[in-house]
Amino acid sequence: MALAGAGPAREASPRPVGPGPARDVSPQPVGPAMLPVRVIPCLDVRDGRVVKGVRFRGLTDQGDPAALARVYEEQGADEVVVLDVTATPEARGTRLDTVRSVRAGLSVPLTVGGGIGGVGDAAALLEAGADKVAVNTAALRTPGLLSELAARFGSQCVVVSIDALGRRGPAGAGGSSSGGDRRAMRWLVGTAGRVGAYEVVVRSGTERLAIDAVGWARRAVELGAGEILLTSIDRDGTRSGYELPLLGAVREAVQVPIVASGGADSPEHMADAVAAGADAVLAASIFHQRNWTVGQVKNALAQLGVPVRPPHGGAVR
Amino acid sequence: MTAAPAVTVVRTSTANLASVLSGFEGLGCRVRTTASPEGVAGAERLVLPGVGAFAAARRAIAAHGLEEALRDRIGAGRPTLGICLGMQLMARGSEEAPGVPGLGVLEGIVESYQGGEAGWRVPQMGWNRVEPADGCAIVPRGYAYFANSYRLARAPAGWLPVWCDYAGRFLAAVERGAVVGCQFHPELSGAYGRVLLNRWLEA
Repeated sequence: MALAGAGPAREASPRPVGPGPARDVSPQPVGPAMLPVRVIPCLDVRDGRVVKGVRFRGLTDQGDPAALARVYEEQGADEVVVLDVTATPEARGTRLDTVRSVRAGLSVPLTVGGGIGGVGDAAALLEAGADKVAVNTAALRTPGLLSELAARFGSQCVVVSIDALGRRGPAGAGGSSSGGDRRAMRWLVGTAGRVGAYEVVVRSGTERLAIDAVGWARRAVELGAGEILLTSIDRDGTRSGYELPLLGAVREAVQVPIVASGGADSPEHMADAVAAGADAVLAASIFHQRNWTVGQVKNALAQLGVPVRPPHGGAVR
Repeated sequence: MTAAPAVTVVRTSTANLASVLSGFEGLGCRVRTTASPEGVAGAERLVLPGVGAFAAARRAIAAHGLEEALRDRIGAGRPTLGICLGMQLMARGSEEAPGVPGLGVLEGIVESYQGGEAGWRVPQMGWNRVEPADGCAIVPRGYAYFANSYRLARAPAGWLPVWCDYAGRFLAAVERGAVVGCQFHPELSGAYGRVLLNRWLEA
């Protein structure tokens, strides 16, 4: 047939028509074997409110996650991630309310992460309207969790969220984990392989686990994860771009989609992440604080040769 | 404006239905769920959703005695929409569960993607461009959201095909009158999906 071998990417990729962008992007950063790159705004939510600062014109209530998610969908977001950063167990009811209200106004996929302790939490979030759950510490702590989630809900629902810190990261970043956590995760130390350039960290990067991040990614996929949300703790909040060698190393190790997270401040950063192996790019502050719309980011990505879904979803006859 | 359309969603297990229910509610439908043959047979418009594994979903359909009611209404051309695994269940079977028969209303066996070595990720997770054949009245052209590891590769006789490309051509959807199977998720496909669902509600 006509498209054999071309894949969808070429069609999805509007090429620059005028002189190329100032930045040298040849050769094209993406191969043909991929879908349009997903652009994913991330909402950090605490007690039902978006907590990272949001400077957003035309939105009266800037802290309402449902209102923000809806605006992002209208701008062309391919998916929305809600990360609940509420620390207390009592807040779980609030979290479910948040997910229900975001879902009611959203008709693109919704991934929810943060504080998922086990199958019960994940099931409740899916029931409330999440399409995927992003599991972090609990997947490290509970050997059977990813497999059980995949068996019950399908791998396409199960995202493993991995926070990685470079071994040569800033001195003093991250204390060594000890006591309960280290014991609970001992099952992994053998199977994830020798710790290489990146180490798994938990508790917002404050505890190192002596578990290799790339090995854990590989193991998590074997266990049933259908996607990896890969956050560089070195880059998170720095606005210096994604951690490209980390993306490349995990790309080499797994076949499932990778969502790059941590450090994005421009479409160029996103294009670099795609070239390094990301299938999707997650960002928060570029959308919340810099007044880039999702549509503007996608147009800029297209100019850089990155295939994206057109902001309005393409022609509908 | 006439009465809100009534939509019945098959609920046989713990499958995550929130997005499907919310999608139809957002279009102004009265939405209910059913797990009984009478509910399937009596539904004005029926949605067969599905996430999870082929074998488990097929067992659930059998356990609730829904096969005949599903085959009958699809055979009679009554408005029925299979989504993702719901479309796959309409086929004769799946490589995911060898030996487990599907409903058999679509010819062909659901196959896994053979894309690993060429760099295609499995599952296919994201938006892909779909192309309806001439004559399709419900599924539009445009970008739809997929999350799947298996798919039908060949068009079954008697159905209008909607094509897509991912490690080779495959069936994004099939149509026969008001019966539609979608490999993608119209309820997660934004404005594109709303056009599709509205057309199906009017079919």
